[in-house]
Amino acid sequence: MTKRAKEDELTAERRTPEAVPAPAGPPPELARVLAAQRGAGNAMVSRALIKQRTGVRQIHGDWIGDIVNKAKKSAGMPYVATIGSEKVQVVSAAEEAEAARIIKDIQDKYGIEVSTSKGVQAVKDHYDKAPEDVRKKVKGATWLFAELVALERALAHFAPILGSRRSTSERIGAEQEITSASKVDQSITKNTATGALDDATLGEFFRDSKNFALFTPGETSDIDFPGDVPKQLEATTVHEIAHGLMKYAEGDFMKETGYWTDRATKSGTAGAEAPPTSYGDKNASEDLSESTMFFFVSPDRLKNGDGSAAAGTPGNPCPKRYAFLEKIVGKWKLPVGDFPTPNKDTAYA
Amino acid sequence: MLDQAYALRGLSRDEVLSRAPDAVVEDGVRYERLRPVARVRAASLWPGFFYFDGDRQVMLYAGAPEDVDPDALAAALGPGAHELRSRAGKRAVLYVWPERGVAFSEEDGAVDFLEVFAPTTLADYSERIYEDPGQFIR
Repeated sequence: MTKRAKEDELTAERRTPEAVPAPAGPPPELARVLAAQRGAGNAMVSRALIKQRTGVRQIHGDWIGDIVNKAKKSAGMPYVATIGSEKVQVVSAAEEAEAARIIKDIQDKYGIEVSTSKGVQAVKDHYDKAPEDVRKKVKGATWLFAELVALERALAHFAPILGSRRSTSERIGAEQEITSASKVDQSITKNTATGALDDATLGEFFRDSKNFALFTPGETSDIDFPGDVPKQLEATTVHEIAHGLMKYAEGDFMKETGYWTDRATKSGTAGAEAPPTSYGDKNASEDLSESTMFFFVSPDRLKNGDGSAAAGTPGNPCPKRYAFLEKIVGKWKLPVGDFPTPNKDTAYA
Repeated sequence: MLDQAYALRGLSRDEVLSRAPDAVVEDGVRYERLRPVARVRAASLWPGFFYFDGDRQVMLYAGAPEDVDPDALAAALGPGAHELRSRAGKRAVLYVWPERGVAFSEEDGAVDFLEVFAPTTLADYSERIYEDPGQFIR
């Protein structure tokens, strides 16, 4: 091919309308701003916008974002879809539709709103002693489609005590402990004047806000399931949910396992079954969340241990924890037709 | 509660057992790095546990003590608290006054646990009693 022919071909490729469609024009609101800018100049328009309290940055950002995302969508590249108040990274229109279904179903079936702004607020509220400039930097993040799938799978494990089904469960009468789930970029390292943005936290539960958040560092973590990020996402999400929904069982959990004297202190009793992981060795709450995580996501790992830990050390087989959770979860659903069994005197028709 | 704890801090195992005939003793247990120790629950004396190394009291502990305001506790202990990572949770902070022999963990305005021990240095507390729980990531 001659150099000229090659250039012609490249030019033709660049012109091919099917490859990347011409971007749609700006939305009417922005078109008016741009027209005014051409006629009256930047300063005049800026003053007018400030007067109108119009979010210049928001309009501009949304417009550019929309154009870029439409182009990416047309090119079959991953793009960011806006679904209600949430941003979700997807690869196709079908995936976008599925993400929308998941968000709606989670609200309808489980009474849990997918709301990133609530998570951002929860972080700020719960780290009230962290420096103000750090708290201000806490921001929402775009959901990965895989995270929404994991969220739905994780919540399904707790379905009998969520949403409308809770009113026919053993947990009737107790308020649902979680009502929103969020994707936040980063948490804060600690609730003191030296708190900083957190590069390590994967997820966090905020009791007072009835919220849990997944954080950007969790997008690639496979800490418990090497090479299986989707399973890890589900596991991390189950862990956070358990901090809320399983809290009521913490007292009985400590009694039955014998490893803790109270929420923060190990009994030190010889022969007591240890938590399934070292992480669960921090306190009884983490132990219960770790145990619940494996109970639902990898039950054999809970029953049989990590294969190397000695009895009484973290990672050991946890048959007591497995049996405890089996019993607790088994009690969630009230028996159908919860009526007393007729005795002989009243059993005749 | 702090005054009550100070009054009990010096008691030996025999003294506790003689004052609290209902006490329950478990030998060969641990409290963080303190091990092996004996744990004594004497509910009529203290709403928590005494830990003894032989006859010598090494820790007076109360988990989630009721009606204890962390700000009031900190004010009573005065300046000079050291902050350590608390095993109670990511947002919890362990405040230690080693020279006064007191530490407590606080989270969201509540005391997770209170420790009272013989006055010492931060280095000794960190080496002999405190166990770093490691980073909380979820």
